Order: sequence, then C-alpha cells, then structure tokens
Amino acid sequence: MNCRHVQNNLSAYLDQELTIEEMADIRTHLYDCSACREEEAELRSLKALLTGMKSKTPNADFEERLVNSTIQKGMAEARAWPRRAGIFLVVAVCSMLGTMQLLQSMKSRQDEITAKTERSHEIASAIHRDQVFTASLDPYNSGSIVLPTDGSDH
Amino acid sequence: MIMKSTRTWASSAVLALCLPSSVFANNSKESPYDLVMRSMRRSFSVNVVAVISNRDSMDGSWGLVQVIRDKTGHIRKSILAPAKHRGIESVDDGERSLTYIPQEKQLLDQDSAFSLPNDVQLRTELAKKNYVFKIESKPKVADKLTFCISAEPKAKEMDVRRYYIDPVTAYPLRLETVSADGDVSVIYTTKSVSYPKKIAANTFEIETKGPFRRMTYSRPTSVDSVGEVKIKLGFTPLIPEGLPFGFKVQEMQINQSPEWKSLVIRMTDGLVRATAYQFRSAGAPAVKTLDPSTVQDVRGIRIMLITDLNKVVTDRLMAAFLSSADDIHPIVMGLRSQPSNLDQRLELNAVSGTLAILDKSPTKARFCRTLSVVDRTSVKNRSF
Repeated sequence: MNCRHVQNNLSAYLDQELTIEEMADIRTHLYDCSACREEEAELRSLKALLTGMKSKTPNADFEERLVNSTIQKGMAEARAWPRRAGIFLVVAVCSMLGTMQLLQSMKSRQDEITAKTERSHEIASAIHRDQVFTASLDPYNSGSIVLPTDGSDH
Repeated sequence: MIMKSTRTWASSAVLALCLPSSVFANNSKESPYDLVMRSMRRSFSVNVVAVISNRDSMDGSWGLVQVIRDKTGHIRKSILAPAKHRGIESVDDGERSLTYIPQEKQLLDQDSAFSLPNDVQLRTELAKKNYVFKIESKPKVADKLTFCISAEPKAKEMDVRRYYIDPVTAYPLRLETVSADGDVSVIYTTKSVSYPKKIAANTFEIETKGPFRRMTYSRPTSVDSVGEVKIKLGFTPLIPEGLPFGFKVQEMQINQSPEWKSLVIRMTDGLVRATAYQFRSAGAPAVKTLDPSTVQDVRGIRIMLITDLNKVVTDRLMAAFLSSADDIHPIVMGLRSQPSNLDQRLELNAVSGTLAILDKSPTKARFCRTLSVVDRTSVKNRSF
C-alpha cells in the first residue's frame, strides 16, 4: 500500500467505513509513514471540529413557505409574460411598419430618380436624333449618325 | 437578315440639283462663293467613298466614319471608331433613314431629312449677305487638291470658316473655324476619298444580326403660327422679333411625341445652323449631355439652344429669345447673356436687391446700386 492510496482512503478509515483488512493495512502504513500520519492527524482534528458544530434546524413551516414562494413566483412570471409579449409585439410591428414605410419611401424616391433619369435620357436622345436628322442634309456634317442613348456616350 | 428599302427615293428636285453641279464642275471661272454653295448641295455629280473624321455636335467627341454616297443621293454611313460604337450603320434612301445600333439591338426607322423642303435658296442668299468669300490657298487634303476658301463673317463676333473643297467634284473635304484670337478648330476632315464609277446596289442595305427592336420616329411637323403652337403644345412659345448676326428662322416645327412635346425652331445665317428647342420647364429634368450655358428657363418654358457657334454668339442668340418674354427687364436679360470670357460680371442679388459688378476672382463687389427686385425674371425699378 502506498501513500497515495492511504491518503485517498483516510476519511473512510477515520469513519471506520473500510473492511477489517483495509483498516489493518492502513494502520500498518501509518506506523511506518510520518507524512501519512501527519495527514491523518490533521484530518482527524478537522472531523472533530465539524462534529462539535451545532446543526441549524429549519422552522416547521419552512417547507410550506418554500413551496408557496416558488408557486407565487411562477404565477407572477406567467402573468407578466402576456404584457411583455404585447410590448414586444407592438415594438416589432411598429418597427416592421417603419421599415416598410422607409423601404417604400426609398423605392418611391428611387423610382422618381429613375423616371427623371430616363426622361433626361429620352430628351437627350430625341435632341441628338433631331440634330443628326438635320445634319444629314449638310455634306459638312456627313459623319453625323445616331449613337447609343445610354446617357454617357454622347 | 437583309432589309431592303423598297420606297422610291431621289425626288426629281434632288436630281435637278445634280445637273447644275455637273455643268459647273469644270467651270474655271466659278467664284469661291459658288463653289462653297455647290459643295453644300444635297447631292453630287460623282459617287463618293470617303473616310471622314468629325466631331459629334452634342459632346464634341471625335469619331471616324465611312461615308458612301451615290449620285442619286443614297447614303450609307458606318462608324469605324471609337470602338464602342463600331458596327453602328445608317442608310438613307431619301425618304427613310434606318440606323442599326447592334449594341442596343435597335433599328431606328425615321423620316429622311431629304424629304424636307430644299432650303438651298435661302441659305445661298443669307450666305452672300453675311459672308465674304475668297480663296486662301490650294492645299491637298486626303491626297486631293482642294481650294481652301475662307468665309469671313461681316459680324466680327462670328468665327471665320474655312472650306476645303475639291474644285472638280465640289465635294467638301475639310471644314475649320478660326476664332477672333486665331484659334483653329477642325470641325470635319477627310482621311481618304475616292470617286468610284459604280457602287453596288446592295451597299445601301442594312444587315442586322440576331433579333432587334424597331423604333419608328416621325419627323417634327411644320407649324406656321404661334397660335398653332399654343393649341398643339399648350404654351406660348418665345419667338424673337429679330435674330443677331444675320440669322433667320428657317422653319418652326413641333414634336408631339407624348414623352417630349416641344417646339423646334431651326435657324441659319446661310452657312451655320442653330436649333432652339422649347418645352415646358415644369418637371423637365436636366439633360446632362448638354452644355448648361445653352439652356435657360423663362416664363415656365425651357429653351435649349444647340449649335456649334462660339459662346458669345450663342449667348446673343439666346438673349434674343429671352428678350421676347415681355416681363423680362433688359437688365435681367443682360445679366443672363453676359459673355463668360470677361474678367468682370454683373450679378443681381435677388434677396438684397443689389446689382454689383464683380471681379471674377475673388468675387468682391466694387460697385453696388440698389434695385427693387420683384423676382428673378423682372426688376421693378425700370429707371435704373
């Protein structure tokens, strides 16, 4: 038997929870090993201290109060949930509506810009076409030709 | 896919114009003025295959275009450069003009400008009145001998124009403008030219690749009176009583397309053309591709002036249109038509009602006089 095994079983040894053979082996080791003997002494003192402490006995209604308290807390949480959920729902709906409105407004603005840009291109294109139309009469403008209308090319 | 134009073309009027060309072609006594006028006719006595470099009237960018035209007025144009526009082709048979834009898979089908009334007589008269023509030199352009004829304007604000013309065929090979400062701008020049005896008939057909969208446009229709414009377009147009530098209104036309109802006023001094477009300014978007200095809003009408004239002349032409608006005080009109190349400019502060002469930089007032400003288009104190 080595020190490690002895120290692991010291508490059970002091509480006489081991077999007779194990108790005998540990006792034999403690005669020969001062380190384990010192450990055994410390543990025995600690156990003596713990044994001497008064234990606190709960009041008779402790259990009932504990149960009631737990039930009431659960009920309170159950009552609070719909209110919290309602607030959450209102916030979520408002947020969703706000986002939709923002998206709608952005889309309208985008549509407006797109329409204006398209109209601008249409006018530029119409003017360009008209200029080429009249220029084609003039041999000094014989290179005039209608170009793509993407707005950046002419 | 081959698209053949089946309509008849080359009206008798156009053919008739070819005859004097051939008659005068070898006339050594032809005056510089006559040669310039002959070079501006709608058809020539020879077939022409040329590669020309010219400037786009809208943004000033340069392009290289092959032009093939036969004696009867058929024209084919093919863009060679810039690369992004290569493949764009146009054919004109005198009645319809087709332009194929492969980049956009579009075929533009519109009236030919040759269907318009011939304006040669008006232009000839005006050119004679407004310019003095003389032969300056006889240089070669695209390996052809040319007569360089200068057209000196009687109005000093106008640029001198130099026409380089093949004296035999009267085909124009180059056009330059020379400003008062002596700056030369090339408007159009020929890189190569030949006069083949025959041109294959299928030259004037357009070959399209794959599916395309046909866009049909009608040319604007002529109108004779302001009242007619008001009825058809819903606004009273601004028509100047007179135009500066010998310009005349050639024709008023209206464009009734739903996307852009507008009035088109075509003007010329004989050699140069200018176009004023008028339409309702309410809700009209800015057209970025146009020089802002050619755009003015007055009395709810937007005026766009498109021309290759210099800024001073363009501004004066615009001022003539603005002056036709009754409620515009001459001071305001003057402010709007100030030449941009001066060191100082007049500025009207619409809030404080102050008229100031400002140095261009820094903008510090040197002289002020208070006016009663009603709005941006009128000034109450007319005794100023």
